[in-house]
Amino acid sequence: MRLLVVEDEPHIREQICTQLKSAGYVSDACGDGREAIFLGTEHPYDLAIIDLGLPEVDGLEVVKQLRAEGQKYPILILTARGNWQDKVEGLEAGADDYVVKPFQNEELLARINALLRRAAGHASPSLDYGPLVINTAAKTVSRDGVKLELTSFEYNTLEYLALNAGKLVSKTELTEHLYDQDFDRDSNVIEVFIGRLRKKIDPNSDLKPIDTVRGQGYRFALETQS
Amino acid sequence: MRLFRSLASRFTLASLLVLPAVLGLSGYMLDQAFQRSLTSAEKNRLGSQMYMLLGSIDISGGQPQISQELHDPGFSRPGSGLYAWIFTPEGMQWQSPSVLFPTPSDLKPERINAGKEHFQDLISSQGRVFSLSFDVEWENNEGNLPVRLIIWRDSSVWDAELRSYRQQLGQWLGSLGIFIIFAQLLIMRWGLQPLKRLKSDIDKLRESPDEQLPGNYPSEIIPVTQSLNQVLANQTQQSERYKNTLNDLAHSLKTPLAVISGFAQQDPELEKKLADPLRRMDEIVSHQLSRASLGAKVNINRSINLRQLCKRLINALGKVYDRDEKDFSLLIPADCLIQGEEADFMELMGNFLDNACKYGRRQVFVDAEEMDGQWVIRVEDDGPGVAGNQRQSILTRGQRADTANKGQGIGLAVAIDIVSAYSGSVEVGRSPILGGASFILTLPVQR
Repeated sequence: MRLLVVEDEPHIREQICTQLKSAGYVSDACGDGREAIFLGTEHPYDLAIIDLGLPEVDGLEVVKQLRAEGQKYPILILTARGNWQDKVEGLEAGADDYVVKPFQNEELLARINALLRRAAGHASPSLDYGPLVINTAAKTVSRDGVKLELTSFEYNTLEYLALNAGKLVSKTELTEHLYDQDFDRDSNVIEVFIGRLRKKIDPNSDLKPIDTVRGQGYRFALETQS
Repeated sequence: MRLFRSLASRFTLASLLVLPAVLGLSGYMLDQAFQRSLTSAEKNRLGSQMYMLLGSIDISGGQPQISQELHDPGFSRPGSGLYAWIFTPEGMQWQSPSVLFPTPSDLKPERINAGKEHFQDLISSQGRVFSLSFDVEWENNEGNLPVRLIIWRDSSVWDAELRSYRQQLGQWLGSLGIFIIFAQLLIMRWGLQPLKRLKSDIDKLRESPDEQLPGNYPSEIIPVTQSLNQVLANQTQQSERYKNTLNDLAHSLKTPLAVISGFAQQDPELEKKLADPLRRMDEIVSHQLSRASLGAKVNINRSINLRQLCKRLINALGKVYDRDEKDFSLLIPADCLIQGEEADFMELMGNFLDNACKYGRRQVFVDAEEMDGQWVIRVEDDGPGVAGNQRQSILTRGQRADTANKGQGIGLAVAIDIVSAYSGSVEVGRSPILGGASFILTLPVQR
């Protein structure tokens, strides 16, 4: 998952990015509204975190512009004052949730998680595919009730495919959403990850959760039980 | 003196006092003038009768005598009201046949001055009469004979004419009075129309606060509307400046707090030590900022449509709490207009609705009604509710019933501050419909 972080205070920006990284998200960060509008319209992010109190172009304007440009990904606003008028204006401008500063890292991550899940059309944090269950809140995967040991890259790959179930996801899209920009896109690392993932979650090849569409990418083939 | 607060009643009262005075005075003056002209006509009439009488006099035997039939039959008809006498220094020489009463003794002249004419309006034994006397010197063979002629006419004709005139005058003045009253009512309506329009324009202003009063008023009112527009513009500017200052202050206080909190969270040991002081600082800053914004009230109270305001909040909360999870029942009537600042009511209702979402399970109910000059607003949920022994303590400023939601505890305290600023009160109870908490806000209706 690739997230956009817009915050003018460098310490907070850095802290948010560190938290996101340790939670397995990839993030781009910037400190002013103009750059935020540019980044937010140029790249297909999965979510944006936007501070309302930005210099020059304020956060509310950034949210409005991104929505006017047709960007549909969830937007979480950070507000210092935390009064309802600001929150309502932010939500009316197109944001989906808010976090009041100062915040607990757990709270921010929980909100991000819930927004990503809701954007994919799942109300519950647990994605139940019968024998295979992905818990997006705890970021764990279990097969027939047994918890599987996945690396965070493997988990993120699986979660991204599952949240985009039924859609064709190209290797380029996967790399864009899962890895930092300096990642070498020609490498076959993705194929290696997918292969390892298949072995871990479907060792007997009886479930076949991930289809390979030759020359185009992958498609998550399972449907949730609930 | 409540009556005189209305311009219309002032004008009506003034015209009720002035109109009878003006009409009465005019009536009196016209009556006097008419009486004068009647009297003067009477004098002329007596004058011409005097000349006719003179023409009928003959001197025979050294004494004046009426030799021929008098021109006016009134002199001959007894009791006709028209009487004549002829006096010489020796005494009365002749009286008209109409005189049936004893000749008043004071008619006899003491001295006769030839050429003297005397008109009188007097009260006699026959009632009110007009009297004309004329002194002449008659030349005859025996020298000059002084003669006084006196004609009386009673006032019956004069009275009848005056009566008929007064009747007509009364009718005219009455009709004039009624016409003036109607005309004045119409003029008053027309004259006060711009003020009525001003009131309705100001009422509209309450609903759309950013607008200004239009400029098409009479020149006497334009200075008022201009000043009002200036005040409105200043207030909008001031409240904008105030809002910006508070936002800057919030940003510059909360951002360092967020930085410290972020650093503290990187070290579990440090976080444990700093969590409580940081939370307290955050709450104090939030609370004080909310209280400061309460002072940003503008002087001209504006109306807020509470239903629309709650609708916006519910839409916003629907996003935050996932629309499918919450079921809002908004039962506030569409015409519920409350006087106050939008930001205050947004904060007030936002906090109560947010609490209902946070502590309730699924259903949230919000209602408002006007009762005995007060707005009663109810926000209810289907959560566990507030235990009886905690109901008072959660309403005490800054205290929370639980610590489950850290950093969110000031919401209720802020809401209570706002309600107090509007001279209202908050009560907590159990929702009779949903079974959870019921917050009842009571606010006085300001008109």
